[in-house]
Amino acid sequence: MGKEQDTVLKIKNVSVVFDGFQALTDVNVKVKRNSIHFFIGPNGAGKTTLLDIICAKTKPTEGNVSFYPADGEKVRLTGMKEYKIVKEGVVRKFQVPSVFVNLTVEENMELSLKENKGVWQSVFHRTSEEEKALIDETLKKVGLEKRKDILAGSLAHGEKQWLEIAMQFVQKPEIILLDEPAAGMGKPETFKTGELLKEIKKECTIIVVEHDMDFVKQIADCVTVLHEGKVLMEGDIHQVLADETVQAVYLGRGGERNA
Amino acid sequence: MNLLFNGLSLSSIILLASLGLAITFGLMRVINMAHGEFMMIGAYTSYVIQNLLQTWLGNSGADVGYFLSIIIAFAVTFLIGSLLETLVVSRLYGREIDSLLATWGISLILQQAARTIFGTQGVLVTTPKVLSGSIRIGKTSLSMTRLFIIALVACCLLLVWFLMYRTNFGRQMRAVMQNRSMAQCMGINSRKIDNLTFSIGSGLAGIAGCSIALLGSIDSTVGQNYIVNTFMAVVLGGVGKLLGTVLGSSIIGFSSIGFETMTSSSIAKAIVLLIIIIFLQKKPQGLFTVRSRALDE
Amino acid sequence: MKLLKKNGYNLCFTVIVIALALMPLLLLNGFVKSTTVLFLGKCMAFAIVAIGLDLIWGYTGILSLGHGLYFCLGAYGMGMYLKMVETHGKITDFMQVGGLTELPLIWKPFLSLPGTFLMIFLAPLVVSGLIGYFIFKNRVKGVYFSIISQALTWAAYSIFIALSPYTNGNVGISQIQSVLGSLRGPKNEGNLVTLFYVALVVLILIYALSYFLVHTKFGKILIAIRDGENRTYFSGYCVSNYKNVIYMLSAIFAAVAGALFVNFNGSITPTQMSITYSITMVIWVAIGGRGTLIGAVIGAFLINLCEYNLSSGSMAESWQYIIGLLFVITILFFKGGIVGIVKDQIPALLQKRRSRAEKEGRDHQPIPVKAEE
Repeated sequence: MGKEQDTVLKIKNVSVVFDGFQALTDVNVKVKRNSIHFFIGPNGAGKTTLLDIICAKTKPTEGNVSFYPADGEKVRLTGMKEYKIVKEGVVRKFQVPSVFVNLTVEENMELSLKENKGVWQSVFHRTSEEEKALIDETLKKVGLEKRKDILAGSLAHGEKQWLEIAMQFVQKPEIILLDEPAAGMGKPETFKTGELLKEIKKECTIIVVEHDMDFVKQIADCVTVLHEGKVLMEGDIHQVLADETVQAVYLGRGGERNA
Repeated sequence: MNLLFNGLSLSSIILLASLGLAITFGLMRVINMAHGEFMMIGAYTSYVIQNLLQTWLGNSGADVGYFLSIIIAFAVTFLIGSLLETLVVSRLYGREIDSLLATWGISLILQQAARTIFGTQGVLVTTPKVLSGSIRIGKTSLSMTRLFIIALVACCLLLVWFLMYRTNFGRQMRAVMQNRSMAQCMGINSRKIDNLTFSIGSGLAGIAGCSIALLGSIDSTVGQNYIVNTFMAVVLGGVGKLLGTVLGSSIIGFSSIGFETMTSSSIAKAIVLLIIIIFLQKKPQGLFTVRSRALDE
Repeated sequence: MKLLKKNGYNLCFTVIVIALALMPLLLLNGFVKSTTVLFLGKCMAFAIVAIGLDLIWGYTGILSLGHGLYFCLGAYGMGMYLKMVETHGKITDFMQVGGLTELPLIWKPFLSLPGTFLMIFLAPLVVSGLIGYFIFKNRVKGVYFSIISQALTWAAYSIFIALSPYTNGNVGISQIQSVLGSLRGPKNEGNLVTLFYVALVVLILIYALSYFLVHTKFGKILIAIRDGENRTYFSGYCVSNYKNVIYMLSAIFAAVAGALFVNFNGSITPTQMSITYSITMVIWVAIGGRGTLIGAVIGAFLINLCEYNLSSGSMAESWQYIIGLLFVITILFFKGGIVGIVKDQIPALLQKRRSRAEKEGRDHQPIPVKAEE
């Protein structure tokens, strides 16, 4: 089980400057394999920016991000095209649910399958039985198996969130980045999402940005607190909750945001 | 020197034509394909006003008529713009491509209307006496018409700048364009601001129309000749930046004149456009970035 | 009913094809004029461009305002060949006027029919491939693509006119017959009928190919790109490649259409390359119904037939008003065009009426109220 302690993602000396505004300053984080790693912090702390850096939506001004696949060499994600990063096994769910509204749930899933992403393959590839089984299985996990044939656009907000998570998971990724997966969900739904993530964690690493502290308490293995673009502290949830600085800058006034 | 003046002159014409577009496209993100037709309306307004005053007051009337028509053309296109905004454009905010297509339909109608009223034959506006001569500086002679257009552009630019950055209306306008719902919450009547902004953009096209009336004959397609260059000027300069549009127009104007000395004018136009398109490849980021938490809008 | 819903589009296309296939028979029996058949031939060419435009606009969300360029590349290619047939491979009048003494190199491939066909495919492929590569790679999209495509077409248009020794400038290539010879007069009705059927077969093939494409995973990805380009990137697809491929394909469709068109029309001028004409093509698709192949076909036929019948008579002046107004109304209120009205709006209306009737019948019953917290 030594492998479990491996680092799967290493963020090294990352800084980002937007038009003179220092969004992130010298961030160093290591993410362990098969863990649920949270980034928390007040608004504007740079959480979403950090995810953007990992999946190459934004380029860092300095520093880089490296990914260590379970089998194979270290991959430097900084500077890669986003679709290539996805092929490496690092996928992302966005804060505002983005599913393909004019395709059915099943078609959304088919497009997310790991293989056959080239133009020619897309013309001639037919979804195989195994792939179909995988889709069904994944949809069952998020409870959408009965809604396979309806348009993704007509799903409820929470269902879209789950569909998007399922779309990421069906790719059999090594790392899933989730930006506020519980946003807009009620307590029971949030809890259900948490249980789902615990299930998924067995097969990959999950990095989450979230405000909801109950959700963090429920599932976090490791928490990194960001504040004004810097790492304030890192540790398990109990250490973080006990830390006085964290309470001062974030938790003390975080209460109103949990609603 | 001569070349420089020609470049300046062409730049100013393009700038005048783009100024309205910089507002409707740059600020409001409405692709007004009927912009050229607003220029045409402005040009025809010049023609009509001049003829009316000529019949009443004789030749001196024609001269006064032209200058008067600049203000009237602004008013006419302002009103038509306001009408168009209310009927069509207001339904299409946020649907850029649809706004492009719908205004194209409008431009078809306006062109045909011009043909129905004025016929397919081009008409001419008589250049006022004051503007018919030229000034000699050293070896080059600077035509008064072109100097007048440069001055007109400078005036319009100054007015727009003043309006946008020094008045309460300008502040409200920029607020609405940047964050509509927030501005509404602050108690700004965004419908009214939208309408006024679009109308001003259209009105500027009318003024541009008066200036192109001095340069050649007017027919129903006169606006079409400018539409490509004006759009490119706005895009090149950076959408939403007034200064950018000035720069964009100057680049197009000067380089067209520059290339024209080497080849024919239509080839020069084509070369300039191709260069702009290649240039846009190099830095699309500055012009096309979207920063938002939603992935696609 | 369900079957009709599923296959409605294909059924509709089949009806159009059968109606078209009957035309030559009616011609030979003297029921329709040969000019009508000639015109329908052109309409088929228009329908082909419309399908191509629909693939990139309706399905992928790329609005090109410059497909006239590709239409003309095909049309000029064919026209040059036909001109060479006319002059027996000698240089033409306009070349002589332009000061050329021998046939320019660019005309050489058009001395033979295979060379011409090759060029009709290659020219649009290379041009659209290059344009697409640079534009899509840099993620220029939405209206910026439209504006740039319009500017490019305009640039090409000025170059075509400026190079009049090679292209005959404004006049274009005229006084040519079709590949099969003359189409005019009762003597040549056989030629006309054959050419008509060739065009019909091409139309069917292109429709079938497009139908196949949009129903594969490729087609789904196109829709995905339209609805969420960035999401598609983040699903691991190289969106720019997809866009480029579909853009090239639609350029080839336009060129094939142009090549057919020039056979029926007997001349080609740069007017067909202008922005106005390019947007006219978009109008067909918009009014017919974007995002459905049949919509493009219906739009191309309907608008052109109307124009043909109206613009010759006393209605000539009002045609521009009608088309302009129709276009604006479609964009404002009927995004789905004619097909959308038939498919969505009418059923929705019926549904509303039905549910209202039901509601009235139910009015005396107490309305169940959901417990709310």
